[in-house]
Amino acid sequence: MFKYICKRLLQLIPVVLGITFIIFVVLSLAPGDPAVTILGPDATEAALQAKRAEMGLDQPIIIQYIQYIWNVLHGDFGTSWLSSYEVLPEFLHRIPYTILLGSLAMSIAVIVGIPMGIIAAIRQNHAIDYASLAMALILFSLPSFWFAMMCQILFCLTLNWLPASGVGSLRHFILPAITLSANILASQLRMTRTSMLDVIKQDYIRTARAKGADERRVVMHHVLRNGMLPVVTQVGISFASCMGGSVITEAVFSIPGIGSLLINAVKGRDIPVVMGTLIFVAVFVGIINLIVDIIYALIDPRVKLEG
Amino acid sequence: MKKRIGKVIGLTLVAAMSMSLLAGCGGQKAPTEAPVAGESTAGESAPADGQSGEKKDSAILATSGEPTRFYPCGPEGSNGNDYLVLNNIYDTLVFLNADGTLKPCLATEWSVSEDGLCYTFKIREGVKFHDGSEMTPEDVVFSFDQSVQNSTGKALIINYDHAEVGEDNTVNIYLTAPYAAFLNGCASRAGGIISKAYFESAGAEGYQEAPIGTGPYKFVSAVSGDTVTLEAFEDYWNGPAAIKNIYIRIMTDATTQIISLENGDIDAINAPAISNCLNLNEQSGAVWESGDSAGRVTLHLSSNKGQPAADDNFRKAVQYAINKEDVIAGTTEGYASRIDIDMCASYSAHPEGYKVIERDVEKAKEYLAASNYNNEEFEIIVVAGSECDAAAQIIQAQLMEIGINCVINAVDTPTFNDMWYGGTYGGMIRKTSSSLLDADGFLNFFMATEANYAQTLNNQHPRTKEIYDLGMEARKAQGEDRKELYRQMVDICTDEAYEVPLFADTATIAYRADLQGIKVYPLGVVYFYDWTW
Repeated sequence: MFKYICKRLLQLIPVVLGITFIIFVVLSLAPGDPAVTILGPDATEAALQAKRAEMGLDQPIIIQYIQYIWNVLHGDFGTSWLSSYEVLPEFLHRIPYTILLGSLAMSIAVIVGIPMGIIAAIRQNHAIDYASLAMALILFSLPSFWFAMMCQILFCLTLNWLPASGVGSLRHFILPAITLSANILASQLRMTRTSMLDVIKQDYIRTARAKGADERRVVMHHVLRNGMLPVVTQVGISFASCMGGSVITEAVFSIPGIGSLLINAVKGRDIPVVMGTLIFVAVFVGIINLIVDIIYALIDPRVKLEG
Repeated sequence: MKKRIGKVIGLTLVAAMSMSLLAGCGGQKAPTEAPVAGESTAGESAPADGQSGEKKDSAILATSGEPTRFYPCGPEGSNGNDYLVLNNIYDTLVFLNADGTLKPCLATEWSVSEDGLCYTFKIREGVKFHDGSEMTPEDVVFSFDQSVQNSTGKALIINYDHAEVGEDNTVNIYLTAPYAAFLNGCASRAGGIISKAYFESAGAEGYQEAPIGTGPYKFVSAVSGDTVTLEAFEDYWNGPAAIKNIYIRIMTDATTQIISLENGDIDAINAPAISNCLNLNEQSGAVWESGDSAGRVTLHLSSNKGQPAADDNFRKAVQYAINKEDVIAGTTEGYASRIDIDMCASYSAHPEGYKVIERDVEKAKEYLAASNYNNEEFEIIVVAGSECDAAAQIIQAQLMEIGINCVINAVDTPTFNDMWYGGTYGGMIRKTSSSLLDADGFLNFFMATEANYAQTLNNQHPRTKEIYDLGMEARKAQGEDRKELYRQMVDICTDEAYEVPLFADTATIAYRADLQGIKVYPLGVVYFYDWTW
């Protein structure tokens, strides 16, 4: 197991290098001169050239990339071109908000979505199944910014129960977490239901019932265990996507997480911030995938993690 | 086996919850220390309607962009969000009022030499920096010397040569050539007075990290993406500000801003869109105000070779085809003022008696027929999602009406700047402002010199030099002579249809009705010193 984990972590290195290289090249070739963005339209040509030289923009792209990676390996993620702050401390300051938001959203999605999916599957074609599917359809179809806005109007403006924005306390995270979880919850519900239904139709389930096993034992012992594998994968993917995909939720609720950091950096061609953020997201997704694989092995003894 | 599944589910949930807790406990800086509006930082809370009798000592202003520049003399460009901090922590020698007039600030009086080359400022005595040290004429000289070391400062403190400490607590500033709007430059952010001693110990980076000025508010902290906190300076030369704590909260979503203002989470919104202001529910205790803005929206036509607008008749056709009233109604709900020259009425030395072109579709068609236009694409570039984008869509329909195949290319700001500076556009709608609140801002687009290099290099109209020379003359002239020179400049632009000025924007602020002293300044700046509960 340890060997396997080490191997998977080492495999992350080329993945991160590949992602960062592609992003670096794309951003470098995109229109827009960072020197002009920083110095403004009043800048003279001499000032612009000096700024480009200071930022290393007068070097070939590949040299710029190698220099960047070299600095990263020495713990220097650079300084934001737009705001002058150092990327790493800024990043470390913002990460907790995004992780907190993502974790709360995932908790809601898992606690509500998976049990509902199980109930919908074992009560297939009953009212509760239809209700669950309808709820999943609605939650899945709601544009997150619209859902967020409706929640704000109801809970913040009309009922005045919750704050509409900010990160001062856990109360501030209730609405953002519900908003972010809506889509994931719907996916979890549907995935769990489909997966369970697939398993329910298997011969060994019929055999178990024929042998006289009670329904509770059939569901918990045979159906749930075998039906959990795709669900765990879905949980992993959803959690990873929360890290980079919470941009809209963070923007609507004014949460200073890495989603809002990334979107502003991309808009302003702030390469150091974009690169730093993407390195984190890539590593995070890699680690989540690794955890998913380990959970696989725990659920299904047939899966062997070999180094 | 059931236990095993239970374990897995439990493990997943525990992991998620643990991460939540870790994240919740792991913040290095307090995320948002700002109280909810309506609460008193004194400890006892007051209701949002402020009827408890206890005066609130804090206010929260929401803004959509993040203030990031806290050092006024740096080379980086700054914007309206930066001004929220800069204008409240730094004082200038003179203060630019909302109506464009000047009043004494750190200079109690001033005079200009007959040749217009030397300005003498009598420096106010007993003024303190936020670190408790006294401001001296040496600090003033040092500040100006710092500002003009870079092109951004040079663009505001125009024609600056040098400054020296004079007799009787005065400072003499010498110019290389007379410049009529020099005092407006002194009132700009580049004229912010910094502490020489503090700069020498902290440097520019230290100043950016922990800025000090002589302004009514002290900088406390800036939490990126969240809040900038200011605190009233007790030793302010004009007496301490009425509101002790100011929280500038970054709130990018316009709807969230409105909801937060209506439910009392925040106390004011900086520069909300007119459409949002009109949707404010005033019964909630939120109100808004508008006033003249220094921002103007203009359609610039490129006369670069290969562009349809290189043809004089084509440009005239565009000029006559546009109905500005429709553009204003469609973009600003009718709240903006029409302009016929690329200046706002609030600018000093705004000329009079200039030529005005009214919409005339028949004339537009005649000009188009007389041009070499052959139904090729006429591309208008705009920043996506801006009011210029909305204006472009209305103009597109108006131009198509006379037979121009107009397309809109809505791009992000860096791409827009790239296309603009590269001269690779047919038409361009952009919003610009004059930081000096002076007609001289008009000249920026017609610079043929090192200044404004990036934006003028590839955008030279055939008569740019003529306009530029008149502009240089105008800088030296005073009074009516100056206005006359600007009239000649704008008339050239109208005759040649280099640009079609559309409207002067409207500055806005929305706030809780019990917040007093709110003023709308043309540059969109906010002076918290004016505010009281």
